[in-house]
Amino acid sequence: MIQVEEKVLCHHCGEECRDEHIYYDNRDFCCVGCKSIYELFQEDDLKELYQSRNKSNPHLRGKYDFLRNDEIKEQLLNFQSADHSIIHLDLPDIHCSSCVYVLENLNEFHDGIIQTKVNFMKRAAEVHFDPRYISLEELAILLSSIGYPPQFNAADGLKKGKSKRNRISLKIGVAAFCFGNIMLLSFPEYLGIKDQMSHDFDRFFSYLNLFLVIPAFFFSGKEYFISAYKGLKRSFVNIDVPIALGMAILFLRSAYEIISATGAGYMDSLAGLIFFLLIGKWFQNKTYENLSFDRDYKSYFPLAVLKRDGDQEVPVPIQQVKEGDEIIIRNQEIIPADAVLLSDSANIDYSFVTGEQRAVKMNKGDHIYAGGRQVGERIYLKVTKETSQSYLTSLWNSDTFLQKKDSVSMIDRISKYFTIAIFSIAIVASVCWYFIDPSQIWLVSTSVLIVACPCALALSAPFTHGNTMRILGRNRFYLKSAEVAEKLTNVNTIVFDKTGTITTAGDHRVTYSGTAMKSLEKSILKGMTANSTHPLSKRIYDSLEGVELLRVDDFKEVVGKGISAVFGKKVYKLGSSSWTMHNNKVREGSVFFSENDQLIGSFQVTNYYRPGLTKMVGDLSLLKYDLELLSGDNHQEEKVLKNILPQLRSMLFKQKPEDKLNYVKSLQQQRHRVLMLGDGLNDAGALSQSDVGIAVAEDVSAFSPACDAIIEGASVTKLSEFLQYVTEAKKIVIASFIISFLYNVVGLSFAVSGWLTPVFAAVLMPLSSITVVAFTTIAGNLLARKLKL
Amino acid sequence: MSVIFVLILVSMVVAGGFLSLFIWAVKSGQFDDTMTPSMRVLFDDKKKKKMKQQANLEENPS
Repeated sequence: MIQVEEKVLCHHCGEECRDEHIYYDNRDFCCVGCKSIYELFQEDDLKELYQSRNKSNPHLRGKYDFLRNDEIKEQLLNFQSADHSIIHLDLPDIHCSSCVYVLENLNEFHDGIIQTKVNFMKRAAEVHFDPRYISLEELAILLSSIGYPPQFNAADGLKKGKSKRNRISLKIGVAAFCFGNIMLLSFPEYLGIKDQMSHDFDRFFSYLNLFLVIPAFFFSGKEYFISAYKGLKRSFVNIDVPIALGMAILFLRSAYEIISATGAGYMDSLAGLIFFLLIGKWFQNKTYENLSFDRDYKSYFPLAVLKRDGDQEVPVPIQQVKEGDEIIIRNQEIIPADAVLLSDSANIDYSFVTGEQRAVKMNKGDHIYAGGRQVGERIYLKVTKETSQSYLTSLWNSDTFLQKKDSVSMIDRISKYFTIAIFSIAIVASVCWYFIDPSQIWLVSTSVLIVACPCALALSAPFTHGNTMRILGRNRFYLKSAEVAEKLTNVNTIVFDKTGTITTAGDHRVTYSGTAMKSLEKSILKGMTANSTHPLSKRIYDSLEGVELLRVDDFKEVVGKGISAVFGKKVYKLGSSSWTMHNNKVREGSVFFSENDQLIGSFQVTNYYRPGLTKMVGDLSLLKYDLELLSGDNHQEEKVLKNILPQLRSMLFKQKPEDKLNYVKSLQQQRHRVLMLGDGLNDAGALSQSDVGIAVAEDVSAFSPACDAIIEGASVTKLSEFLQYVTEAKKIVIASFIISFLYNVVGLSFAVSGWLTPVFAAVLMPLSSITVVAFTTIAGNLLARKLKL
Repeated sequence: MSVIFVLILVSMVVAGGFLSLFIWAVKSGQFDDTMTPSMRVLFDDKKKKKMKQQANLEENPS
């Protein structure tokens, strides 16, 4: 099969047409938005455009009928009154500026829409509409018909709180304001202007400083005290303990100096300290808002399901589906609860659960697990277990998903010793000064605590990890938080899932061997495979691109054997060797094609491994990682895998979701620290159990199981570089620790000898912070360049 | 020289005004989404042109 490598660029926006490719008016478009804009420039009337499009989509009716249910509506709407409703909709198909334009002009499509506001990064829109003119259902149909089907799932309706980033930018703003003004007011002190005239000013400025530092200290710096208190309550010394201590001492001593008129205080240092610490926190906390790392089963399941109630079919929220209810599942819908099939047959695709694309044929009375997707006609089911009790969802409720992984970061481990050291130095210095000059004891001991405040220390890890996250993110490897960067350095075992992780999910390589097929045979084959739902047939069908489809008669499909059809008095068969009457030795994974029991040729359907895989696995084994493979698939590919990936320590096949989870657990009991890569819901348990779980996604904005990091499919083969990078980044953190220790030595020697002045503190603290930040950023970027990331 | 006291107090009030403007801006969500407005602006011209056209049409319907 030929892989299409040629890039097609969108006529309107110039971006590469990746998932969707629309050919219209002899031009290529990457999405409906771009095409609409193009049409718009031709016609200049959006309304006409919509009307013509709406007529062509009658099948959308019924798809959103659950939006008629008042209870569901209430859950989804952010605001509703008689003539104005507001709803936040997830529109995953937004991907370029044209999409923004079309969606924000939605009111031109329909008079009932008041206003739309798109959030591009979140792929969401806030729609204001008038429910008297357009119902929620109609709105959803309208959006789907113009190419933006809204996504509803069971996790919706749980309205999200205000983002944390907002609060931190507010705190930084206040701290920056206080810091800047205090610096200005401290200038006379810095310049050492001392005459009678300036004395009044000094007092005035000092009191202003005291007044200005209060918001910075109590509003911006609040959380350091809370965190230190929480840590101490659990008898655990985190990095915030010495920070909070230093801040409190700074504040109290400065306030005392100002009120007693004995000095100018260190308010500038205090405000600066809070400002720099918050900047560090902000830098580290920059997360990928548009990605979800914490999805549970609710995000996979639909919001509602059709229930048979007497003669009527009513949509009900899935939480209300009870045991014994009869539900109706239409084509491409997901079964929300474990159930027994009432219809004669069903075709269930479990790719959602297992990651392996394989439609399973079910018969009347069969038990069907939640999470499968029906392909084909509508089916009737009787629910045996509620959604929350189902096989799949109960996996989620198991301990793995509840326990919080508590790991002590490097900085918190150091901070314990740091705090002890600072206290010892302060005590020793006090004892020494007791013999030299007892009046200086108080001054010296507070100076030690002030100058030793581990600002630079606290900044080194956030900035290095924050920088790591950015560089990895640029390479389409998105970490959930900076902690993950640190955890990655401790990993020594890597477990791969097969399908979708080291192979590309959709692509398969179909190779043909035998006598060359005539175009007629190809057309017959295409006609046969078009009728079959077997995944192998589907792949062969896909490989016959551009071949004319011929209608075949007397189509038969025998489960486990193959398919047969008649064309022009000749019987064609496709399937296993015994089915096609060809007595060759049985090869798994081969599909034979015969005409009147005479072999024409055979097809070999193999997974398509990611390019660069062999090199990556080689590199990883050179870096002394233990490599393992867990697959839900059968042994078919074992030989191929052994051949291309000889470094794998073990390979396990036919692994169920809980097998994978238990395998990871057993590895951990053998003191392995496990990095797991997987896609699909079947890996969700193992991902969550492993020390670092990475979800592989072809499209990062599409759903992925709960994990610590998300990696885009094409970047999987860069894993060895990523791991090298985080390992080196750890060295950068250690180096910046050393730098900040050196600054502390200088500062402490001044403090111990009693020479610490406000000016000195005001220079030393920012200087040390800036050195550390500059060092980590520059070193991190140089490292990235070296590894070509 | 006592005018400095007054001036500094005035400057603090002005600075405080800017701070409260900043707080208002953050709270009203202006920093929530920094990506979309940059795309929105690309189409502003188009919209204006269209409105002008419409206005022209209404004034002298032909």
